[in-house]
Amino acid sequence: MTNARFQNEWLSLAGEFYRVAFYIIEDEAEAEDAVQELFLKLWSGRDALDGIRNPKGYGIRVLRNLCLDRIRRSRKMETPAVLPEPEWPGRQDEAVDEKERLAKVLDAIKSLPDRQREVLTLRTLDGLSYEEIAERTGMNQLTLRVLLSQARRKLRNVI
Amino acid sequence: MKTLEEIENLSLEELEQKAAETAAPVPDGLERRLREALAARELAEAARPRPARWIPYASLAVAAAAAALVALPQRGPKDTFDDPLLAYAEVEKAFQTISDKMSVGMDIVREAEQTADMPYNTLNKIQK
Repeated sequence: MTNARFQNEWLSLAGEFYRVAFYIIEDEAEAEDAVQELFLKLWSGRDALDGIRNPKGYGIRVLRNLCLDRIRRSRKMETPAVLPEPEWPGRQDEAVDEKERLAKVLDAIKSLPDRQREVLTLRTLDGLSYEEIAERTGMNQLTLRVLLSQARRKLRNVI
Repeated sequence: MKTLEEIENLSLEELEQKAAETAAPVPDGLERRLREALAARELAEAARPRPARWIPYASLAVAAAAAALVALPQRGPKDTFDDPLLAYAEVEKAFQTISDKMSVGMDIVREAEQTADMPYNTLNKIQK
């Protein structure tokens, strides 16, 4: 599935997904986190999304499970018990590393100035060419290249 | 607060309908933040350390070299033979080689003898 199609068919459902998450979790921040988790999951497996005829139904089903998992986890946290030994410590470490790396990059993107962030997202996520970004943002290509270079330099330090 | 069972018992259509009825306001910039999260995932994925790509190829090359060393026939003379005829032929060849070398050596010895005899013969001719 192309990035453009993913955004047209799936990202446009973000508001509806959020309402479902909020209905289940009843917390704004948690609901938004759950929706973000849903989209990261969908994005990772976007090649398999081509065959899904009802994106909204599929998304709600996955989201409901994610929300229920969150509720279960939070209930376990409320009643702390002895933590079991992880079965696959290596894989869990990798998963934690992945999450930490993602959180760092996301924080770094959020800390970028608006124009740098916009250009970086259009280039990285949408895969647009400099011409297309220039057309969409109204900036000239030299400015775009400078902004992108600055954004990348900042992110490189974080990554 | 809703119970887990309450949510689990709802069909997807009912869940969607109830969620829509609440008309909870969607936070400003939700879609933008999601786009940024996806971009971050792409960048984090690109920055993830990967094992060097040459390692599998190098392993294959080493394995192929080892297999070739084992499988290819050894160069140089063999010292044992399964076939007696081949062994006989090899021995004959070895003797022939020794004989050839010895013949050359004998020719040199004969030549040297003739050279050594020359003064003696010359003296004999003078005395005669």
